Amino acid sequence: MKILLYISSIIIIIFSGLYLYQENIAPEWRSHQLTYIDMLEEKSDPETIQASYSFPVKLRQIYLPEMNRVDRCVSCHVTMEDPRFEKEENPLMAHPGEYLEKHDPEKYGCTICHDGQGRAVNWKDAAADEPDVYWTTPILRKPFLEANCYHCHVDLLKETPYYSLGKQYFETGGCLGCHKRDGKGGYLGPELRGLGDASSYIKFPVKDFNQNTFTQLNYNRNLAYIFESVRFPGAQPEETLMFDFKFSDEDARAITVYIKSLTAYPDGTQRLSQKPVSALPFIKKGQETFHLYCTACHGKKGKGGVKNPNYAKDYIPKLNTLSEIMFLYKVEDRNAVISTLETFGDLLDADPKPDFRGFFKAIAKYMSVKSIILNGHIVEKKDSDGPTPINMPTWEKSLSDDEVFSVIAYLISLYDQ
Amino acid sequence: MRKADLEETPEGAIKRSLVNLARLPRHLKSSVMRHGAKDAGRLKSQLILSSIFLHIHSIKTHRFSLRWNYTFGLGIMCIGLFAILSLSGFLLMIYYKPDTAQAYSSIKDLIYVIPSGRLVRNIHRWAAHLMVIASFLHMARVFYTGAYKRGREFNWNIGLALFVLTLGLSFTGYLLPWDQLAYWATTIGVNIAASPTELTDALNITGFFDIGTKLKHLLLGADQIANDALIRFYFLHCILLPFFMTLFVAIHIWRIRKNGGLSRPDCIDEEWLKGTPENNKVNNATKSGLFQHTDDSVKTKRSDAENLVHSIPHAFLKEFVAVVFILAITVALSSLFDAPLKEPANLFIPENPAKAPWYLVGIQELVSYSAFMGGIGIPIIGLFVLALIPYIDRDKGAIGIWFENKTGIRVTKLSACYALICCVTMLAFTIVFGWLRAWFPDIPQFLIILINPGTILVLMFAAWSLFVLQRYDSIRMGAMALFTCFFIAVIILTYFASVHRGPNWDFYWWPSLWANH
Repeated sequence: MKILLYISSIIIIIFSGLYLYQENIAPEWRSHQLTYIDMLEEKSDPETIQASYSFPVKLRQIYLPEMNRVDRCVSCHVTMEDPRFEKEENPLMAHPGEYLEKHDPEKYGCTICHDGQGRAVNWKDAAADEPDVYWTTPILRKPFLEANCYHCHVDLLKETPYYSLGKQYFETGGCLGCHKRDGKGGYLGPELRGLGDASSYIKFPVKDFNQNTFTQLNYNRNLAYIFESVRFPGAQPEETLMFDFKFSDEDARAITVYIKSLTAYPDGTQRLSQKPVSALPFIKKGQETFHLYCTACHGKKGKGGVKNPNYAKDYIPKLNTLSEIMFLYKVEDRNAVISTLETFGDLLDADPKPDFRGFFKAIAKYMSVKSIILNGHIVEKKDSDGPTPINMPTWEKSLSDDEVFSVIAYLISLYDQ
Repeated sequence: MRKADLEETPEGAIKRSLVNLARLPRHLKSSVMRHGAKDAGRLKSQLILSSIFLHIHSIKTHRFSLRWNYTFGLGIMCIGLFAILSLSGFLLMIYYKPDTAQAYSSIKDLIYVIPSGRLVRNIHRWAAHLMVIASFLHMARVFYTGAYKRGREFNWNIGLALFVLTLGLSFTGYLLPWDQLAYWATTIGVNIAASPTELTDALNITGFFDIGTKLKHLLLGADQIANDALIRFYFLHCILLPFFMTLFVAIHIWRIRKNGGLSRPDCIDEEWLKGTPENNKVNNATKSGLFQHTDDSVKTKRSDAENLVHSIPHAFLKEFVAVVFILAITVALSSLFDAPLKEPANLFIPENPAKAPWYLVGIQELVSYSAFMGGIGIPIIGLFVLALIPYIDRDKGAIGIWFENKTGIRVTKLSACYALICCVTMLAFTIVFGWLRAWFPDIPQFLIILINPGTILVLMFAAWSLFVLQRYDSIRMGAMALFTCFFIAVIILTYFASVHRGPNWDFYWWPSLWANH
């Protein structure tokens, strides 16, 4: 019995002693701060030696109550703002670039840009990109870091090439034909706003990720999910309606950055838009709308050529021939219709009516095109037992009348181009 | 102070102080005890009697009760664990913030920056797990030694209440970290509480008698687990349940004293007492008036006063060792395995599989057959039968002996095999062939509530128990068969549901086969 008592006591003392030593006396950040003091002394000018004496070794943190964030990254990264440490290695490296001049760390902290777990005080937990660390936002590395700039900024920044490219692809690729962004867009695919907030533990995919992709994306499940859906649409749910756009890895990365930036919880108290938004010319507006919503299916500039599975006519109709369909062969006639659309909106409301022959024939065609855009169209199946082909969605809820008129005007203007 | 000390005191003041320093332990002891060694026996009794904390403990303990392989110290380990839990709980309470917005980050801070916070949290977690196991085993020990008989019937029921309280405390503590694990495990638990709805639905009376939802609202204060639920669970976990726990523990121990110490056989073989401390005959000879009150059992006093020894130091020392032993296990486990903390709770993303805390997954397995029967019906039947056992089994059998006799060992072994076969067959059958709903999609839910793998297991156990009852013509044997079945079924269901149930509650050979984890 005495032996049991002795063994138990020794176990208690040894285990709790070791654990407490490891927790309280030998954490990572302490050794980093001690190295920092040594390095200060090596740089050996009298001023820094003085500074090293007055540098207390302690846990450091940036506390941001209004954002409910505590960033303890500065416990290890003590040299973040010290230009003398530009060439050292992490964690004792100065922050690259001039970002900290405009983004005072005391005001914004670290995780607002970098993600990761700010409360953690060791690298593994802070980075949180290993599967056994349960944290919703693993650290973001280049180029995915760019996504977080647009949680506050609205205008394009020159420092974010991937984001700009991704945004360009997104807004000219007609993604919104199926997807929604801020509740606006088609209904065939999922809403994209908030997809980037989906935390690492959401098990969207049924199958596991391609290990290669996963490694490239720093084991961030959210990024891996977005990347894989863009790059290999059939890899996620196998029965997907999404077309394979054959993006290169780089382009897919850029689009991933853009989608990752679509957060439902912007961090800034207000979004920082600096440039005033000027109204676009009518045709330009039509072009923009067409790019946002239509190009994915109807092709760039309405040239068509996109295959529709199990559709009787195989290809989704091209639209750059709208002028011919409306019998508008002459430039003057086309311009008259376009300016009528711009001035009066609906052609039926035109007063006075444009004076050229065939206007009423044009109106008849115009009515049917407008009706298809607003109400959608169910297409004929090739094999009546086969899968449903992609139908023309209804745009009555998502597009304003003005947008519809401008798209029609844009399509008319495409003749000869 | 004794006269001898005074006589030997040397002349010089320095010498005197040195001698006094050497005698410090003795003087310290005497200053605490207030009486000399002459009255040690009387003093020991008084020490216990006059202390509000100690007086619920027997003054004298029978040598038989000091054998380690009779009790295995399980009861005292439970109390030790409760003490560890209380102390570590106090420390955690200082830092914990019972608010959905802050709870999770307060736990994170506890882990990362509060000095030793992680260790304290680990200890709290592990001690809670160990306490569930220890109290379960303690119940089995008391049952198999027949220690619920002869005036101990009610104490058995208090023990049952303590077991339920232990589960309740563990369960209410589970929600507090407010992470995914906590949130969804608690959701399962609360759904179990709301399971009478299945019965009222089947009887078509939910409209005016919706007891399931009422229970759920009582527990959560809302339709969903949110701030109200967190505050309720916090209150239950930190105030209400510990209060009743303390109260019942006190009654539990006090009644052991009133029953004349732990249960023991009527005729004790000298062999059994080998290695236990001998009675100090000198002290026994100087019986003072107080000693007459040291034991309430007239019978034991008449027959076996010889073998009673003072609880100080013998019993207390053993109890101390048991507590230190379990503390060592707790600390070792806490140092090696961190308590889990997953991502912050998210209402919109269910964990798959969402499992209840491990001590409730057995019930969850039953719930997967029928919510009402598994969640409310069978547990209540189980508890009810356990509570009735001491009132039904009033045979004048031997107590204080493991499994009573050779027949008991045989019955226990047979019952264990029987229960094992029943459970495994039933589980395998359900997995391979499905159940009524899979064969007759239109079957009324009421029939499934009545006939499901859970109720069939209960019936099988009851039939086996009745068979044993008749075969051996002994209520004790029947009870033993039933208890063994219950014991084995709990272990198998818990093991099965925690290891072999994966996403969507499907069967998996091993958790590593779950897709995408």
